[in-house]
Amino acid sequence: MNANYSSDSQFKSINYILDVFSSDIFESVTLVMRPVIGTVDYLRLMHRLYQIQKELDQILKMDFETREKLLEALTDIISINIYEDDLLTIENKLEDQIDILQDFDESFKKLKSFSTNLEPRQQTELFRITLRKLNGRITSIREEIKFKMWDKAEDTNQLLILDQFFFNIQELIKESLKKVDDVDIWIMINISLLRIEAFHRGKISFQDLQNDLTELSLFNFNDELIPRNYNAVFEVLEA
Amino acid sequence: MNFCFDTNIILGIINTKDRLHEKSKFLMDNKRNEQLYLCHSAIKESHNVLRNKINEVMVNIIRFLPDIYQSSSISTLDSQAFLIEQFKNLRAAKPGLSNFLNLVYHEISTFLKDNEIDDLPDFLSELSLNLSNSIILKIEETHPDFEILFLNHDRLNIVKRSLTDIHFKDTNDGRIFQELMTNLECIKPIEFFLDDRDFAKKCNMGFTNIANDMEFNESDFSCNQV
Repeated sequence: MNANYSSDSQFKSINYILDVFSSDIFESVTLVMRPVIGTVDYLRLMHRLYQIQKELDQILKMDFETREKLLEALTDIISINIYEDDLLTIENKLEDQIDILQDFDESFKKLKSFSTNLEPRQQTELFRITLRKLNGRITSIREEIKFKMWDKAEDTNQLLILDQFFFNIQELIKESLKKVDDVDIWIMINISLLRIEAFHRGKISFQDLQNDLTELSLFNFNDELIPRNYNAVFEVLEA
Repeated sequence: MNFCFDTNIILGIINTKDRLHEKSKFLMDNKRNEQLYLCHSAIKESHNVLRNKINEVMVNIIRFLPDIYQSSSISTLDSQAFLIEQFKNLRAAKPGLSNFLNLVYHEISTFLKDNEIDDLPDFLSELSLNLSNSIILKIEETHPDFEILFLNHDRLNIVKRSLTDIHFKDTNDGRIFQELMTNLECIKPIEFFLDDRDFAKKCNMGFTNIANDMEFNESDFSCNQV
């Protein structure tokens, strides 16, 4: 059991999912912060992999302790009241935190610089490929949540909230695929992933997670998906 | 004059059985030609309440699904009959949810025509989110031209300084007031309607400080208990 993870048994159902997919969440965070990480094969095709092979290896082969150091640092930032910060401020705080961590700040810097210097067409391709890979990871997590929801021994409400959270991240990814260089959506995806991880580590509450879920739902609002006879839904408030 | 509603008033408008429904609706009808602003945090809080209530019902439905669908010997016709029976039981237990349950049953039936049963939990999860978003449509139905107030970061520091001695009883109250005050320059004069005596008191105290520090007039903001 990882000492950094929350030991609150009240959230056993959610925390089981977050435990068994902790590597996927870590890799998802690195994919969003440095999309080039998800495009090893594309870079090989472009004969450019050698330029950042060393840095990619460091991130992709990061050992557990170093990985934890990074996630602990980033989730510390994201757990402090982010309501009062705009997206760019939050992003800058996260990047500043990486700069402080000496184990990999050079690698992260070089990967960022490499991406920035790609041709626009290659950048677009890189972002698109990474978003698809990210979506695949989230799909796997949701598949497991769905499987668990069939088990009456699990806390269905917790699993529902977690699934809805990941669904909203997928909606952000879908939106991002339409405009891959919209930085705000990338930042929102990153914050969302880190907020889930912050909950996993007991740094934010279940109420905070639900508030975040609402924030995402309203951002992803699409009136075409709402059934026409929606007025019946308000009966639930009377019950 | 511009006006704004707290969370309880928003919920009062959309819930016909709420104790504030008549008063809230009356207010809304009276102010049909005035500009409505709703704080992002108030909408979030209302949305949260609605989604959690919908999720409660979805949990009950998801929990009887294994009884229907995990028996390998059950035929499609039998599973359909079982589903109808379970919904009938749910309606009997909660007659106030009949129309909502009919809506969900209809959505499930449509879904199952072209999709696998295994995917029902996902479908119900997403349906809950889509239905909870209908709060926006409901507000638009009652007042089409409303605007949402987001926190204005440019004014935040000065507003926070003025509110140093004011302690709101919960985070949402504080955020709603910050959203109002950081945008006040653009939305004044504005009446804020609420149902919470303590929140009203804190708003009045907070505005007194802010009016002094940011040179607003007394008439730029008022708090009205419904």
